[in-house]
Amino acid sequence: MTVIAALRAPYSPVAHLADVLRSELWKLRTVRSTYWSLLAAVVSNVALAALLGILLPSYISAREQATIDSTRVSLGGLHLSQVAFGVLGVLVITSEYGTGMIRATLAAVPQRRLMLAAKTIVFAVTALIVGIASCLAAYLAFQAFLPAGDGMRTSLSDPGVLRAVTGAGLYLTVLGLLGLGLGAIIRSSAGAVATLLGLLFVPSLLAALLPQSWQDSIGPYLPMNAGETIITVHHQAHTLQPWPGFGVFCLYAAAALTAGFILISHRDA
Amino acid sequence: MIEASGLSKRYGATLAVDGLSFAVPPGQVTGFLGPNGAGKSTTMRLILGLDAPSSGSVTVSGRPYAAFRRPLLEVGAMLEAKAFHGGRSARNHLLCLALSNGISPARVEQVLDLVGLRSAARKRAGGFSLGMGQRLGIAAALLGDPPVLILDEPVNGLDPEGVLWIRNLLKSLAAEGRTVLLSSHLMSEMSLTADRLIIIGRGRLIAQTTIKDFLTGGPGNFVRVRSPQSSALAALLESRGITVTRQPGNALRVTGAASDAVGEVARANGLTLQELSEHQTSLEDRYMELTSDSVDYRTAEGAAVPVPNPN
Repeated sequence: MTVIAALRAPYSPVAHLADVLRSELWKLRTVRSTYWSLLAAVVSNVALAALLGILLPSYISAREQATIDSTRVSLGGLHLSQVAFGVLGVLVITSEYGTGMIRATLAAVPQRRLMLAAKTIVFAVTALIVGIASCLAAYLAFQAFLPAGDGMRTSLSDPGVLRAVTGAGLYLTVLGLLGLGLGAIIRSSAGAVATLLGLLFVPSLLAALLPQSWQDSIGPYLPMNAGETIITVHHQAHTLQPWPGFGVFCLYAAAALTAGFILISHRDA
Repeated sequence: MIEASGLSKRYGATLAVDGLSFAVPPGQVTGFLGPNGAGKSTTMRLILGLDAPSSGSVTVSGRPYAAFRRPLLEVGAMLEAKAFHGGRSARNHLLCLALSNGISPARVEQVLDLVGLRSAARKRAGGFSLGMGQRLGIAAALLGDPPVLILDEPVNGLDPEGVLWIRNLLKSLAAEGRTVLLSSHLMSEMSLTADRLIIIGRGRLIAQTTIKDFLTGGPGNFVRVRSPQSSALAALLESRGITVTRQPGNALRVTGAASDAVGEVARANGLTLQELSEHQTSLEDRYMELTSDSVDYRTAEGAAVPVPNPN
């Protein structure tokens, strides 16, 4: 067949990765869950920010307006959109196991780590673009609805604001990667989503049962507490600095992904 | 050419595949036969590197599967029917696979036509019937125009027209010199499609032979004779060293003699015959005989050694 005759060329890892990246990008683009979860994330980021921009000025005092971390407030939609990003990260890999597609995938690309690397790259780039764009849009929407001269007004050039807004996109991306790593380990959508949400929300609840001094020393290193430092402009007591905190958050995702990469080539598909 | 050597796979306490050695030569349809749970699907997963063997090895065209950079150009496989994401259209499913192996989108259109899914190409594969799902699986297997094809129960769920289509497709692919390995638990289907047989039971090789040798090689042919003096006839035949099994209704099952010889014995001794007929054991009977009897879980005597096609 002429369409495939010229393919028996010498091996090039770069060309191989490029082929698998194209395949994984096409996979991500051709299932509805991608669009639904990203749409949900964008809507919750932007709509909540706009709503807060409209409502907040009339509900809080001028003194509060001056002291509140308004950038972080404008990124309040993250509470919902992080779930959407996490679920999408999980589904990128578990939907293959859930549907049986994984057998077709691994028959086409038996180099399993290359396949998982391509999935990770495609997801990370997509999440980064949508994450940063929607967080920037959220920030701008919030600012757009504030009355002129409002105490909560900030500018992207103010210290820490641009870092917080783009950092929110980074946070969503790394959270999705944590989901992808857990998905690669657990291989079931429900199990991996439950584990991800548990990892985000349960440690803080458990820590609240501990003595205050323990909370102060452990608390900053819990996944969500560490990750959220990146979206914080006004530094709070008993939290890490933005970049070190975000670094700790990245370690959780890196640990999950590393385990996923190790396991994928040692287990039967 | 697919070659397995001492292939074993253990899942916990179960030995699903047990020291399997076989060769699947090009240019023929080889039927991979065994009852449900015999280890056919596991063996196919081992060939494709989806599962790692506990011991032994298997190669396709002389190489382990994981060594292929563009495996779809070397091996086309259809394992279970639904190895696709139900939310994707048939065309997009095939495109996902094609892109990973550098196969052009034009080839996707070709295989869609080849399996008759052109009109359903834009539909979500999740809504496909079992038969359409099988066709999509076969389309995926044919994407890279591979010299080796491995199909697990491909006629499962197909209507009679589809069964005929698959049968002719596989025969023509083998006639082009390709290696075709086809699993089934149905002997009747194999007898119409396959040239060679690999029969396994409980993970072990029972027979590796051609359909022809399989049918004629064993104690398959017998003469059925019915006579009111069946005891006398049985004694006469046995005295000539012929094996006789007594059956209900004055019938005898005679092996090791042609019907002519039995008739002649009866005439010479003045015995009345009510029935004299030659029977050939069907493939189904032979297969049942081999796989139901645990004593026979070993390689059949005189199993043919596969001869690689010179092509």
